[in-house]
Amino acid sequence: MGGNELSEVVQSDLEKTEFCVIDLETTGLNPKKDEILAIAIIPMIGMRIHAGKHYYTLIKPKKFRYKSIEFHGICPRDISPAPSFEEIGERILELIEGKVLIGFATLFDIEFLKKSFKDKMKKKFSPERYADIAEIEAWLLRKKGMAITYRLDFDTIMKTYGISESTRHDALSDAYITARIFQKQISKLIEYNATIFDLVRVGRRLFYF
Amino acid sequence: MSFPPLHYLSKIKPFSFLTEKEIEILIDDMEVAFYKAGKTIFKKGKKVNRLYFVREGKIGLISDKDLIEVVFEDEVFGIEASLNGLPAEYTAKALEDSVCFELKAERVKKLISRNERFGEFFRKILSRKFHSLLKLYDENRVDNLYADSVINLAKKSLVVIASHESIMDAVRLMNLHRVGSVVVVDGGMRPLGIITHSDIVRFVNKNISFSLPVREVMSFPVEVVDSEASLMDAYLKFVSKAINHLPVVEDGRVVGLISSKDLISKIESHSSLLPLSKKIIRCRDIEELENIFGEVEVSVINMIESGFDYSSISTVVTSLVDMILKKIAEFNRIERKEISKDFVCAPFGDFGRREPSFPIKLRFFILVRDDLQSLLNGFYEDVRRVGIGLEVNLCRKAEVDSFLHSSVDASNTLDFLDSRYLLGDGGLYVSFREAVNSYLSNDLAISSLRKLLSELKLSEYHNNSVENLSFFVSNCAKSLSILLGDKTSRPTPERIKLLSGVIIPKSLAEDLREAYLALKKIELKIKLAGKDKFDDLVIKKSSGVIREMGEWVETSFLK
Repeated sequence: MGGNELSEVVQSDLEKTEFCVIDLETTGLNPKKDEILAIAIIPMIGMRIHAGKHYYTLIKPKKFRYKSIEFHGICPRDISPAPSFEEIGERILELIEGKVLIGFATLFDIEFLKKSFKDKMKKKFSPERYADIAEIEAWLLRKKGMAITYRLDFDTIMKTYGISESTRHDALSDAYITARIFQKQISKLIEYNATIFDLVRVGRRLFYF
Repeated sequence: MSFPPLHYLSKIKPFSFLTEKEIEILIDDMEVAFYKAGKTIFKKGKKVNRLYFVREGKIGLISDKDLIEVVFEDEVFGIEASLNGLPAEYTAKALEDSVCFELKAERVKKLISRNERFGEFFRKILSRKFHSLLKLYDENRVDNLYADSVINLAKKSLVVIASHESIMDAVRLMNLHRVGSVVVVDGGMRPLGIITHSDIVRFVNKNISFSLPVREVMSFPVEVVDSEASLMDAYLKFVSKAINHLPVVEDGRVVGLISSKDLISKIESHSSLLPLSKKIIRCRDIEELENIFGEVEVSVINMIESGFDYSSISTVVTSLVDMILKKIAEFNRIERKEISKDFVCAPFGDFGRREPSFPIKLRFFILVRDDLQSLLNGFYEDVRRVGIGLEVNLCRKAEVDSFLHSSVDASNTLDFLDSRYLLGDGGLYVSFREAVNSYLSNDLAISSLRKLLSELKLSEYHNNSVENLSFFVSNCAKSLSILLGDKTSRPTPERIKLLSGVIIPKSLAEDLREAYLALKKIELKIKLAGKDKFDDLVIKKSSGVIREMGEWVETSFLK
């Protein structure tokens, strides 16, 4: 003990930054035609997941595509009592506002949210700061000298961080696992003296598939 | 749809005691924090308002540079500080990259008052009742059944007879009341003896006249049990004495009778030990005995899983093993009249103290008058064949002093404190004990305390095995008893009770007794049934008590 008092103080703005981890379930993969079926949002401050403050809801779409049931397991019966996007849009904005969005394939989720806000609420949604854990991971691996040219999948990243959760795969579980991965990534980013600007720069991806 | 942390906690004790709704309340304010190796979570002396659950990694609890405990995955820490609102007794630091679920103390307290079992868990930890804490999670516990007093089961079936009445009268009474035994009493209802169904069979076989008065044929003195005693007490008597009927007495007068059948019908499948003692008595050869010994082990596992405490388990096991040994002695005819005066067999150490551990390994001290060695070889062989480990210290009567003298420095002498008579000549045993007692000096006790402390690494309590910890307690208790002038062989908890308030401060003695019983039970579990995460917690909490004991011994006797 002693001697490491310095390490106890906040070293990086990443430790104070407010994040929010998001994950969606959708009726399909095309944001132009498909709709959001469920959304999960978990707030984080630095490496601390505010698990108790998570938000999750199913959303009733205009059109339900039966083919997508095999991906998300959500049935028409589940969503019949669910609110529409119009009813919860404001709440989502409140939760996300001012925070850095974190996800897996974050841009994909952002495109869906953009489209939903535009079509259903006539609102412009364009978060400035977001990051994708797959991009962060690729950056961390490149830092170690590895040449990453392919996209890392979710299970591989989970394995890298030794995370195993028996409940998958719904939006809330995936958002939580994403948060646990990101928590460890922040710790590594701090070791490389990265700041929030670095995070947003390395975590950004221009195309989502 | 289930939130992973909720799903995870719901499978781990004590959170598994909560309903889903209650877990939701608990995690409503929960945070999941990541700590890099080396990071301090909270500091000694600071207030802690969260209870920490380690989801991943390893946390070290440090006090004055000593690492006093390592908290592993699925375990909690910060209980005392967060729930009692006291300053932290240690600094908590991540020993490797770790993830903790952090629960608001206020929420936990709310649930402690709301959920009985969850509350019991924390109350027992805070009051250091570790032994009873173990019972909390024995799902199919029957020890509550055994806590009932005998009188509730006894009243109906009592049939008595005066001592001058005949056997025929006894038979008529048994038939009339459809019972298996009659208790022979005097005018004041005091029990004189008992006649049972199997006695009658024996009388017929031996052509004994049924007109004889019962006092001439009854079994006496009769084993009795007090009306306030627990069913457990009765059970232990049935097992250790291999009998079927026990008159129940109140102020010396018979008020009822309890039979092993009554008890079995109440406890059913958990009473597999009861028939075992009778099987031992009836058994005819070594092979049979070998099988029975295997059953003893299975029964102990049953007892462990049914929530019995360590004292009951060890009492039962000791009686059964004693019976097996006597049976083997009988097969080898080593108590034949002409030689029984020439030797004594005395178990010592753990088994001598009636605290056997598994696999059972006995240490015998055998004292012989002259060359009798070869006579006992068959006996040793059979003991080993049954599956009981055996180590024999053989000594001639004339050499007992030099034997003890040569083993003064070895831990053996202290182990001889816990010897007891088993077979052979009682007079020889007394002379052996006298010799032993004269070697059990205060100096020996102090030097043994010093040795014990040096063996138990004070600064690294978490590295001590369960056996090391319980060994430390039982041997400390021995040494302290010698210092108190008590050289009687006794089980450790009994010793601690006697030392409490006289040598050991009362509260420490109370904690020590609980910790010891908990450790001994876990020791059995590890060997026979395997332990779980919950046991680890109890081991850690108990080792904290033993650390206190170690420090107390050091300052009180060795400085």
